[in-house]
Amino acid sequence: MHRDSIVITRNQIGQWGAFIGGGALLAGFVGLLWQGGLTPLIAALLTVGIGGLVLWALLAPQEFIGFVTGRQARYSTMAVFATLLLTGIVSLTYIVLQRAVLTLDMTEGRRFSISAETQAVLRRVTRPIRITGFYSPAALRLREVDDQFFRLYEVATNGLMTRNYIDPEQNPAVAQAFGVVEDGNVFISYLKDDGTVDFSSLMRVSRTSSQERDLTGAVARLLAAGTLKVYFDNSRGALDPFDTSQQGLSAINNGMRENGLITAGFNLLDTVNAGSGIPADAAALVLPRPTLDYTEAEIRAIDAYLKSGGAVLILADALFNQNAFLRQDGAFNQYLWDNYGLRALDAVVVETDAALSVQTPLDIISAAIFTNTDLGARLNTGETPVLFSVARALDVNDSPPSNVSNGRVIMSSEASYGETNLQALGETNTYRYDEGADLPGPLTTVAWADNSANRSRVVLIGDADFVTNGLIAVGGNGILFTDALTWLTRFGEAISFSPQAFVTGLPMIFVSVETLDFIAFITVILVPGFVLLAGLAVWLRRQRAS
Amino acid sequence: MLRGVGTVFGREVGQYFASPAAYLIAFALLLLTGLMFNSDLTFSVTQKAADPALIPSFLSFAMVFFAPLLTMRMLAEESREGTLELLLTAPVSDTAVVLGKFLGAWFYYSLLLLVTLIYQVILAAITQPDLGHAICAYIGIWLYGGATLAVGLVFSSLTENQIVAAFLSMSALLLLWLSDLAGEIIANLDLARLIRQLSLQGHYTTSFAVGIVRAEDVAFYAGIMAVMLFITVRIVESHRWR
Repeated sequence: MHRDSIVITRNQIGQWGAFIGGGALLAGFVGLLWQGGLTPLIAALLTVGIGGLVLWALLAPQEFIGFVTGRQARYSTMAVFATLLLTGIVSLTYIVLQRAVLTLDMTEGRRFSISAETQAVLRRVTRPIRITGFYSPAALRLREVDDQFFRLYEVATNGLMTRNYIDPEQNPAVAQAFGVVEDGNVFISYLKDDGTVDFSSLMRVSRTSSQERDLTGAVARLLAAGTLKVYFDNSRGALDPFDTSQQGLSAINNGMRENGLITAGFNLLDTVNAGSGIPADAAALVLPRPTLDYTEAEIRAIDAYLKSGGAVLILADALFNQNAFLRQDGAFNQYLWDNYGLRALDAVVVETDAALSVQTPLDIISAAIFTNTDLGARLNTGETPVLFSVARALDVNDSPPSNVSNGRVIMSSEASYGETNLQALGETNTYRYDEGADLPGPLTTVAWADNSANRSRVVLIGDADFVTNGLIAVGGNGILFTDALTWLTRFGEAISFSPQAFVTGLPMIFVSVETLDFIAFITVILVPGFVLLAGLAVWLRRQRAS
Repeated sequence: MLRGVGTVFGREVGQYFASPAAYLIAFALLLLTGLMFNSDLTFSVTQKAADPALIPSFLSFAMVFFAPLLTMRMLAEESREGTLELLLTAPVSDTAVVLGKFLGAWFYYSLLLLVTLIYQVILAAITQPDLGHAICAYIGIWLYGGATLAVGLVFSSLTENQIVAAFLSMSALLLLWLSDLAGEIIANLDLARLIRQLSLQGHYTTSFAVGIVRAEDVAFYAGIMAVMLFITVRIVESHRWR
């Protein structure tokens, strides 16, 4: 039996050494660049690489010398270096152009350019502002879409606004410090002198369909931050803005602070007893359902504040105690009626339409919202209804005092009624419509008034539970409170601008079926068919020629 | 050199128009774009405004497969039939040969793009499309196409086998196309960003396709073309080194 022997020459071993060594060297260099330092694996790869090449040089010296000094090696080495040089030049050009932010917006509506209104807001930026975005690798595309917009702000502010992107998966502690809740969260803040983020000014940038409105709105809020102070009356058992329980107001208080408003507690009773008035720096005063009605002295203090252009948000819940806050025949209720044409009624709204109540007919959903008002503009009965629990009915005088304009924001349905027997409701939780005694629906639950002469504003809401920690996240509850305060403090005017419409604004397509068929004939049959026929003609001509 | 480029360019364009395969490629591309256009149009009626970047965006994917078909024979066939050596002995430089061939392919592709403008004409007749957006998308896809053809040319110069050249080009282009999704599979953000910076798609979808021209995207496509053509010239040149 004949057996072929396998012969391995020194040359072949040398060539294998060259291949393995070359591969190991390449992997080692890539690893070195990537890691930025020598790891055991990289050291091993480099050692194998050098060892392989040495083996090649020892076992196949002629081939090695030929490779290093040969014409082919010289040319190929030159070619590789020249290619690397060109790649470097191209990369450098790319980086320079990327930093230069040279962009041409060719869309008809200039959808990717910042509007004149935004530029006006940005001209007010005088301190360094940092846009901090949190994007994981999975959100890279989102980051790029955002980035091309954010960089316009950087250019428009001559670098006063800068961008910084953080991977929340790699930096969970940083993400937690910012309060990141999901990938793609963006924040803006001032920078301290040392270049770090000033967390006291940190604001979350909301994400809607309009990037410009979101970011410019946030910048405007940041610029206005710290200029408006809202006081919460905490006398007479009122709801507490620092209470974190379900019945507290800490969530909305934190939300207000996040949006640049300064909030503070304030005891109206103590202040009046001390002979002082409502602080002059109060952009608005919130009366969050004190349990007892105000005295004449307190009413005088509120009147003085309002006459100086103040703003009051009154949360008037249904209360079943004696001398309850804003009782119908009380002095404060009469003051509001006389001066602003608004008052609370001693009646609780009962919603008999099952579709507009939640657990009981006393948990009512807004049936009608006047969206043409500043307070109702962001609310709608479908997606952001407001939920009230045991709400009071309000009355609006359609012939308000001179210089005063007023109106309704939210109403209950036609099927609702106002239960006036509060004793039975409070003691036995029973309610029934009594013709003549109870008030027929629809009933007002939120109303506003504006005195153009002294610039005072009042918002009266027939419920307080809706803004507590337990209910603030429901439907449009948070929006109602926020927008009421925004209107009262005129914060909206400070940050208002008309953003670029980020819809195409182009008309929809309306064509007949016949037109569609004709278009299909042209584009699917005629044009491709013509090209195919031309190809056939060429093929036939070639066939004939050959 | 310009005369050399012109000569090779004229020869290439002539070959395209004399080749039934080029017409077949055009037929397939126009049929696909036609179907795509009609499908979107039917869906859009009474629902939404026309998308001016629809066809260019589709082409950004289609070119992964069509560019190799246009470039696979360019140098591989010349090499297999031995005409490349003949061409190299002609009084034209290697650069002129490569540039002429590339420009020929790009010209043919540009003609195809011009034919697809019929969709914009139809849209303009039945509605009011955003013409600026459309022009931007076409500029982008024209540059994008040039880059894919340049990549295809490199692989055509590497082998004598057209099928191998087409397969390698498609693989490379698919990789460059898919690298747009690097973030979905790579946990390291910096690496994912680096890979995405190299993707063909990444420089189109968030800029040209939405109606904006960014200087760095133009530089990217122009740079890809420059580097790929430079490599092709060096590979062709390497025939003389042996």
